[in-house]
Amino acid sequence: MLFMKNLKKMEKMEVNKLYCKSSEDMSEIDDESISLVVTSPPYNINIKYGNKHKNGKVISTKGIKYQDNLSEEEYKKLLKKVFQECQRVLKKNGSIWVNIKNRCKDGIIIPPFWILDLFKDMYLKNIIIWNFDWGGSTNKRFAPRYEYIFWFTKDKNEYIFNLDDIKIPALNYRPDRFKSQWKNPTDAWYIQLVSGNYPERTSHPAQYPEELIERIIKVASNENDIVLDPFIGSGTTARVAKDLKRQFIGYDTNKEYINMADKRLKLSIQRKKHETKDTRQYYFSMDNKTLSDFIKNKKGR
Amino acid sequence: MVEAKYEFGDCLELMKSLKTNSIKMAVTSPPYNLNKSYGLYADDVHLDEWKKLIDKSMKEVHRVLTKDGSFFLNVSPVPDKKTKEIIPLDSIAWQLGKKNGFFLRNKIVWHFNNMQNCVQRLSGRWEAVLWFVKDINDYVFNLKEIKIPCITKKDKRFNVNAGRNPTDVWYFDRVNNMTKKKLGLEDHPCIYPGPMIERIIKMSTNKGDWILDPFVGSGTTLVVAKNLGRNSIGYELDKKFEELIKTRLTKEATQTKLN
Repeated sequence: MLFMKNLKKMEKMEVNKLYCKSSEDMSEIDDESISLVVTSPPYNINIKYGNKHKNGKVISTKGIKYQDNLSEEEYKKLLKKVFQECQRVLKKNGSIWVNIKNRCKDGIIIPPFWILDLFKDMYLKNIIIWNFDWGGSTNKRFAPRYEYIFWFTKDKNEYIFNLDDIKIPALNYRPDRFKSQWKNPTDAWYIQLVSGNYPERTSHPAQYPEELIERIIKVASNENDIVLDPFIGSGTTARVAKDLKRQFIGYDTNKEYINMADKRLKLSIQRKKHETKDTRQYYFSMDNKTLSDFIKNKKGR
Repeated sequence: MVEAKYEFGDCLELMKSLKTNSIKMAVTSPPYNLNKSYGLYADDVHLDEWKKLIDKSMKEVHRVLTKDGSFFLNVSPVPDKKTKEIIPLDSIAWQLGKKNGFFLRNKIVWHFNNMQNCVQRLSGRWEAVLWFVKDINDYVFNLKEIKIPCITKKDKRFNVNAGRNPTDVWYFDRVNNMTKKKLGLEDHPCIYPGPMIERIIKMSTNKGDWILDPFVGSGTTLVVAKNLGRNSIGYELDKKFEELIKTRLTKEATQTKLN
């Protein structure tokens, strides 16, 4: 066994690779070699995504399903193992960013604070609110329009935080005055969901937007650093990491997703540059009056 | 005649005088563990003390609320004084709420602009408003009263003019120093915005209902409740706010609506 382990150590670790296996075991990755882990774990809410309903029956379905109905115990055990592995491979100045949302069970909201238990040895730096428009409506309570991103660092003080690379225009932004017009993007982010007509859209049921990952990769890693996503899904993390000249490693148990992600990595998409003509794209839900004025001045958003 | 009552002292003691099942809604922003000076409060109580305070006041609030009543609690993630690590007070408050028999109906995010900037992490621009109900199937929710403009203007599927659900992400400006000066409120460090309380009161109570704020501070809840024709009662530890509340109730409450 020891011999095998040593042999493995001699081999050079492979990067820019997507593994089709469970990330509970990431022995392919050396200890303290990864700068950034960014992921959106399966939510385990057993929703069949992309279905069209009529009179309570499913009439058509699109998108590839993933196994998302583990028992609660198995699910937490899986995440615990995966994030333990993540902490092993993380560099001392590295960080882990986890995208997760409130659950709704029998009408009762359950916030995902249990995730904090899996990161007892790390420091919580921010709880980011990711806000977006569109989604299901309800008249019994407020319609859900946000998800969380929990940001943990391994060291209390030493961690990568390239604030200058992700600054956004200030509220009083004026292009003719460059100085002090750019500010910290704060812990409340307004980034649109991946809608059906986006070029980045794949058939994954729960794809997260490239713009969201772009901000995280820019702020929490440097060029040539390795970015790890233990639940790679449609490959968004890898795609953006590649575009931003970072290395990547990804895991997923679904072969179809891995194929889809590999295909996506081969495409030569020019990443769209976000222009700052309209600061609205950075700020969310303004007060009612500002919002209605804004809508009035815009034809068919 | 609408009543707006206020008393000074320990809210845990004062709440005992309230009848069981007599209050339709409680809304409050308890002192945080922030080391801000709230007059009498030495607000650097250890986290355990804070938990005890919230736990006990929740128990009392649960007792006095009607069966279809709601409890709105404004708390936020705060950085620890020493380690600067974020402590999610909203998580702690949620646990305590569950323990005291409440159901979480929404965890509302209150987003705002303009506060201090951070360079070592992302600047904080949100707080949580936990909406607890006593009965998950039966509670007051006047959605019609608080709808906001639709995003799309030409959707034939629904009546665009009727507006839409304001969602669980709310934007309200903070009460900044300029507004505080205008209203003569410089004495109180943390005041929550009137329009936000207005939305909460409109959605969860009807005219003539009773509203409770166990940590009433400068009296915002009382003022807005009075404007909207609801009865209210507030408790505050520090008597120095007495004059302020009195003035606000006569001045602001007769002014035009806060919104």
